[in-house]
Amino acid sequence: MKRALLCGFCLLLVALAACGREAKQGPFTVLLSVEANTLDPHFATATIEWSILMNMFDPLIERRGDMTLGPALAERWEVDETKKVWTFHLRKGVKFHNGEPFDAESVRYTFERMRDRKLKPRITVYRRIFLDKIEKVDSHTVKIHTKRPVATLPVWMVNAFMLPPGYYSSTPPKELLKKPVGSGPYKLVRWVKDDHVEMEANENWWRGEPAIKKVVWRPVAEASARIGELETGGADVIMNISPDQSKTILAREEGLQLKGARGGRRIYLGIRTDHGVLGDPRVRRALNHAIDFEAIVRNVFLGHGSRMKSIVNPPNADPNIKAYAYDPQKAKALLAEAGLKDTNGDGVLEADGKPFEVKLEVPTSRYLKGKEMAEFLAAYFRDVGVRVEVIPLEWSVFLARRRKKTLAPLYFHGFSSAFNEELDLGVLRPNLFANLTAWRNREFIQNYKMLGQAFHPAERKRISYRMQRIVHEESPWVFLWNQYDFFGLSARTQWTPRPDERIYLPTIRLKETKE
Amino acid sequence: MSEQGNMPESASEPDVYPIMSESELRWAKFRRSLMRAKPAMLGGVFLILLVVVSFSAPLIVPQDPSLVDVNLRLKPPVWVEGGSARYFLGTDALGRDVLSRLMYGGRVSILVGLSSVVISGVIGIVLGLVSGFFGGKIDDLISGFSEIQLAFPFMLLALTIMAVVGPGLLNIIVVLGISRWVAYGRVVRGQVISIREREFVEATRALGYPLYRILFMQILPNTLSPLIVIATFAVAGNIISESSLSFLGFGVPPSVVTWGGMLSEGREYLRGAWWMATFPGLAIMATVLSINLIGDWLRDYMDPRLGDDM
Repeated sequence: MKRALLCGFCLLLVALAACGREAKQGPFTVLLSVEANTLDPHFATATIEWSILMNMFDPLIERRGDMTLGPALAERWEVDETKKVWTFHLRKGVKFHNGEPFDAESVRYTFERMRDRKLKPRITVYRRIFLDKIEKVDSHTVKIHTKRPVATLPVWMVNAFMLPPGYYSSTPPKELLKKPVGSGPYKLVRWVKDDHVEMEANENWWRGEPAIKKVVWRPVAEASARIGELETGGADVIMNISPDQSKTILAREEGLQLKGARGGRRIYLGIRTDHGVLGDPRVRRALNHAIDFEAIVRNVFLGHGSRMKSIVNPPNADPNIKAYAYDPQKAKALLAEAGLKDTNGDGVLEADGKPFEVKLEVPTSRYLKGKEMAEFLAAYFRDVGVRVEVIPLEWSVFLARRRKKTLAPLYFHGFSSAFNEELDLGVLRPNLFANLTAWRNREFIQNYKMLGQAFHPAERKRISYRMQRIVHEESPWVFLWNQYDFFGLSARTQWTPRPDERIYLPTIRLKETKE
Repeated sequence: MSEQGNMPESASEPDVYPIMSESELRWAKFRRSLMRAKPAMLGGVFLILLVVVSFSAPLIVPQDPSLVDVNLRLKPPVWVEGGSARYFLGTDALGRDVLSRLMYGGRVSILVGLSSVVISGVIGIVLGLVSGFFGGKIDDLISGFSEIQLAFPFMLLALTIMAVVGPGLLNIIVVLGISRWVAYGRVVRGQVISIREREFVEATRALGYPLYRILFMQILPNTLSPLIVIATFAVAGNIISESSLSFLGFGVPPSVVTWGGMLSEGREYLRGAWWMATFPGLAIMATVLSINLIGDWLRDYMDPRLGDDM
């Protein structure tokens, strides 16, 4: 049996290889930069895993391409006047890949599994929404009770993929991480660890069968290898490339496309405000004025992107906030105002006789061009008299220091986004483990509490705009940019990448080929 | 073997006058041999140039090698479209001048190459002398130890030590020094064993010379010629090892310019900005090749069997 499978697989591989070399008619191939570790939605943590999973599962509420929320397996939902009971009206006639019907029991089972003490899943959704209990009203209506009002509940639903209770309760967890069964647009054919994930279209998907029938996801760690495969026709979508390395190459081959999408990940220099003069907002504003980020965008990202204005992503950003302008004179003036002067003429400012020298720690190979950007920023800071030493760290080391709160006074970091104003602003909560700024602003904290209780859109907007302005004024960060995600596409692929780094296959179209 | 060439001249016959014409003769022979060995000459000229350029680098570099400027990044070399004479070999991803960095990087290569050879030479010679001369338990111990070290992959050893002690110029010199002594130790030991029973050693012993004198004045000079050849090749090997370790990020800290480090930074731009990795690569290659050419010639020159007709 095993041998037969192996032979079959070999034949398939040969067939796949043959297809790839021909006129790009083979399976649709997506090259990832890292490997998925699990395909169990309740154990997924990495963006890559979410990207693969969202093609096999459906949530109750989905995040659409424009980052607004829309109905998926729930046709509509409403919250009652206590703000603690959400009613979801479920879509009828939906079936999981194994034939199990989707109903209220699936929803109940999914949320109960999330907080299964024995299983210990990694997913945090049930905690984020302060889940109290799930109540089945009828076969296609459920009520979710929360312990307190949670205005962001619909946002968290996006990653709560619905599971078929029969399959998931009867299969050992070790097998589940390899063999997911959902209701989504694609069904798993096989997952060969460290090699590829293969999917085929779900002909019974409730939105209709997707256009692309067979899809292969493959991890290829080296960016140059991914570009090479796209060039030779072995791939249709490649992720995580940088424009300066790929543009000339992609231009050589007819039809290949470089696509940049403004991502939600907010890249910034964290300022540890509990370190000396960095506690002075004038100094922090000066650092923001000292850097010419547009020059970096022009030279490193070939014009893709712009400086971050607000820490909140569109469509929730306050449009009246302007990005800090490059103005070294103003930076110098602000530093002088804060009492920093170059008394001994060595080009470095001093405060109370001590030179303004700070370390800047940056994780290597984590953020697009992170290390290089840190070097450029350090050069700009030097120009206004601040001596900055750049220290590259392995990501694991960086993470350990972040956990122990021992990072340097300046640290290069990025927060992903759920495209919700409250969650976007929440990254500056003083008690958030990954926030090392030690920035405490009473008005910000009070407003944040109010925002959590505000359900009316206009009220939320008013509070969030106020908070965004405080953050801009106080500058606990040197605002950099919203990281762009760059993809390479084959000639036959028609796709506009989403801002949340995810690759949702049903939105991809294939150009008709004449042959 | 090779000891017969200069044995009588040493202190074994202190009364005999050194014959001036002999040393002149040897110098002439050296020159003649070198002049005939064109490749070695070429190598020598390149190395001299390299030493002069890299150690006067602070005075002659066209640009500050660590000056970062985003507006100057990835400029191609002067002969490629878009290049400028200011940045003769182009600029790297941080806008730094490749030529200036090459000049600075040579210093690290030469420094590491030479000093680690000195360290491993000293360790190897002392242990080799001791183990060959005394034999017995000490010999067993040292030989056993050297075999263990030989069996251990060099790169793994170097990586492990560097990972523990952290990057640094001194660290890498010491690491390369202590992990490469075995070659010297074994050659010296072999030579010593073949020499120690010779009459001239007996004679000095009978004269009551102290041990260290016998070891260092009588025996060591007779083992020198193979050592010089080994050392030459070891310099080349160490330059490559330093580059490899720096390439892997375990060498010197990133703020110090090295060829290996430049190579590593250039790797991800290989297809777009080929000049970033090509020139340090060429520099490493040319340097190692030059040293090896000289080593080749030295080996032939010092081999008495090949005599004058080489």
